[in-house]
Amino acid sequence: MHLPRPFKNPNYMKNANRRTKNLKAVLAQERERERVERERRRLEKEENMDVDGEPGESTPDEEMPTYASIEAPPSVLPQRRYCDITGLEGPYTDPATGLRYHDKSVYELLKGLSATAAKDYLAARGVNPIVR
Amino acid sequence: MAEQLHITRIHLPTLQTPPTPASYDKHRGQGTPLIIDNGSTTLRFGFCTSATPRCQPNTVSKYKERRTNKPLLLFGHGVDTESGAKSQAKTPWEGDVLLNFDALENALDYAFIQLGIDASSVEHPVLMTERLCSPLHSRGLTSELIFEQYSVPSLAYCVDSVMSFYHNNLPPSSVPFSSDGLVVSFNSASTSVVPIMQGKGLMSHAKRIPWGANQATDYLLKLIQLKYPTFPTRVTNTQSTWMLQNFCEFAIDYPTLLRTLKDPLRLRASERIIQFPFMVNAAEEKTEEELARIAERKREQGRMLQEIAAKSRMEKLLQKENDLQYMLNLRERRDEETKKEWENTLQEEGFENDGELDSAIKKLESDLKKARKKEADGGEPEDPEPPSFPLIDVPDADLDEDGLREKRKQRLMKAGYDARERAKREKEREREEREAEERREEEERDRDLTGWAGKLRKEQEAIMNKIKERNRRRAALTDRKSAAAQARMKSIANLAADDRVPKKRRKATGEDMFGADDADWAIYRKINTAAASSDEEEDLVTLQAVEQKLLQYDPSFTAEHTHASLSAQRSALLSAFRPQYEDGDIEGKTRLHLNVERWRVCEAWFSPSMAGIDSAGLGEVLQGALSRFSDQEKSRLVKNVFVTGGPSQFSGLLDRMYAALRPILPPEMPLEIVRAADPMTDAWKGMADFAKTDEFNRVSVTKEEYEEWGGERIKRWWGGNWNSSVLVD
Repeated sequence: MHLPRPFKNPNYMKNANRRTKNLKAVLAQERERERVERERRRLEKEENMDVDGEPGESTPDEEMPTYASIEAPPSVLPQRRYCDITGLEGPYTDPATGLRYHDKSVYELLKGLSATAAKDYLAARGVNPIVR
Repeated sequence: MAEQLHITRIHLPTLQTPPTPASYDKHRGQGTPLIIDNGSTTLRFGFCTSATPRCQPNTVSKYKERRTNKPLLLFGHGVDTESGAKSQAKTPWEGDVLLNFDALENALDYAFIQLGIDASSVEHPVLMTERLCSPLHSRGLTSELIFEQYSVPSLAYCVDSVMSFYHNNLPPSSVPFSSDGLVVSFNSASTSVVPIMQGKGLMSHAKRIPWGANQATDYLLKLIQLKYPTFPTRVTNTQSTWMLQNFCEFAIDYPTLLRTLKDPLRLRASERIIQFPFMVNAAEEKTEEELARIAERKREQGRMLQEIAAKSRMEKLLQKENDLQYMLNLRERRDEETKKEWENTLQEEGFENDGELDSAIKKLESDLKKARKKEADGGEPEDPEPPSFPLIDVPDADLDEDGLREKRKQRLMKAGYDARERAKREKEREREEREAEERREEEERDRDLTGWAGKLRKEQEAIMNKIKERNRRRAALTDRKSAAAQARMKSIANLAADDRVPKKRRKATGEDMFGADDADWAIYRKINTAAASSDEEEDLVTLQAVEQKLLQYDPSFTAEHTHASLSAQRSALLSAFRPQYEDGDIEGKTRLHLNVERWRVCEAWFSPSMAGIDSAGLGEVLQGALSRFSDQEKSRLVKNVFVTGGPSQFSGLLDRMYAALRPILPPEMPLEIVRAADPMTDAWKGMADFAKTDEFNRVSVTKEEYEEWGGERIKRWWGGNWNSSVLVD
């Protein structure tokens, strides 16, 4: 793609801060903005209440969604347990490593696992074991 | 074999030829709306008048060519052509957020070049997608880029999934869009649910699950890496994506499926094998002929060495014979020469006196005799008759000094000889005993085979139990808190404790009886964790002997009953989960077997916690979204549940969603789930449709408005985001 690009504005200066922000900063900024907005709306509502003595009608009918607010909530359903090795149902837990396993034969394999391998299996489930 | 049918070779990526830029003539000065679907995996762009968009992977790579040392800027498929460029590739997106604006600028440059735009600015209204409730940072900078870099007259943003829904429920022209539906959009880095009422996206009721195709790919890759920690080749992300797309599917009822997969046979039947490329090690395989030739060469070498040795032996012998002859001649001369001359001659030859010469001759003679004999029969000369020691029985008194010395020597020799004889006899007896034992055993075996076998089997079992017990103990000792380890510590403490018997009393009474009983010493063996190895070896040897015998005589005892095969045995389930190949099987070693993973990965959409993401699954989110509507509205929504996006093409999804939704709705409520006609490009097509309507101009932000409002503010409309938007009508 080394063709001429005549359509670009030669006078355009790149926004200096467009590179500086990382994902975390952007999301934090977004949350902050949402908080301020909510605060403002609450104040407005209170003002309206002061004037009219009842909830103001001028507030927007629906709450304004933001990137953070449409995030799905954590699950409230009981979690199913699956075997960390095979992915089958895992009704048992190995007390030493915390790994879930399906049956006796998987446990045999599990006993032979190194500590790092066990940790990797746990990490796949998003559990970061506490070092004892 | 049925399983062989499921082997798939890993695909080799085919290089795409770069598309040529289109001609701009048709659109020059026309102001045709430009449609850009800026997806996190694929960038789709084109004028709204074309039927299909141009698609390219949304990756940019700045890369310095090695040969010409020229900096290159590659986009889309071009990145794949250079392996060095691939590692440098960047995308405008970071997960779900548009963040890398250098890459976005490159992507937009590419799009405009491909469309053949050669004017001094991009004089087309632009309709672009953005993420559902996109962070304002991303929107602001995108607007800035579009308006200031490319001087676009007007810009509108939309949500891709709503536009895909629009395309699939297209109203007849001049009738406003007023369909209802529940849009489920499967994106690369997230999955979102957007209810649409009266043709209006209710963004306040939308929900996003941070799980998408990228996460699924990573998860699959992680599972593969865990399953095959020593896989010879690196499994790449691209290959993992390919596996996800081709072999993975949604299970309608995951727990039930798992219960059926518990059966190793079914597990085997459900597996898909992926064959990676491999190199057969040709050097290892030698033909019979070659082997024979090598053996022959070895033999030849041995023979040659033997010949050389024999030759040197012969030469030495010859030399010795010559020496002997010479010395004999010398001795003969003694008689002829005078005494003086003879002494001179002796001195010349290096001998002190006559005796020395004689002993040298004698030695040579005996050497020669031995060597000849060796040559003749090749073995050690063995004295058949026992040596006699005549002097031993003679009383000392009868002997002179020399005789006494000789007698002492003989006595010593006799003692040594006697000891050897005794050992020989001992050995003989042992052998006889062993033979007798064997005979007895054989008789017993002949008499009562089953009884004998039973006895041996019991013995084998006992040894195996002993080994097992030892292993268990060793395992227990590694755990500080186990009973075995505690007992050991107690013994050590007991041994070390000095006050078992007070020292004074011990001295006085000699009380310490440790060691009086041989069994006392076993305590040291018990507290030593490492010393068991000698016992172990012994046990293994006996075990082997017993198993040998059983294998030989007991027809019901086969190789699979031996300790080795029993301990190496894996359960049928595990070997079905990950079949093992022989050591030399390179083809087998470069195979991946996917079985449970095929459903496990997709199941994560419905329960992300499986993969460690603390979020509600799709089913729960749908239920939550629907619960905010009244029954009447709900029925309008679920009549048209619409799925779009790449992962929605996985098989089983529609059935799975039906299974998830049906139980949470009243039984009489009609439920209809449809997939987009083309989940990949329908969003772009919907945008193109929309850009042709008049409404498009109303919802666009013009350059003047941008200059007044800044980049973050947009106009509120049915297909756009709500955050930071103003109501226009």
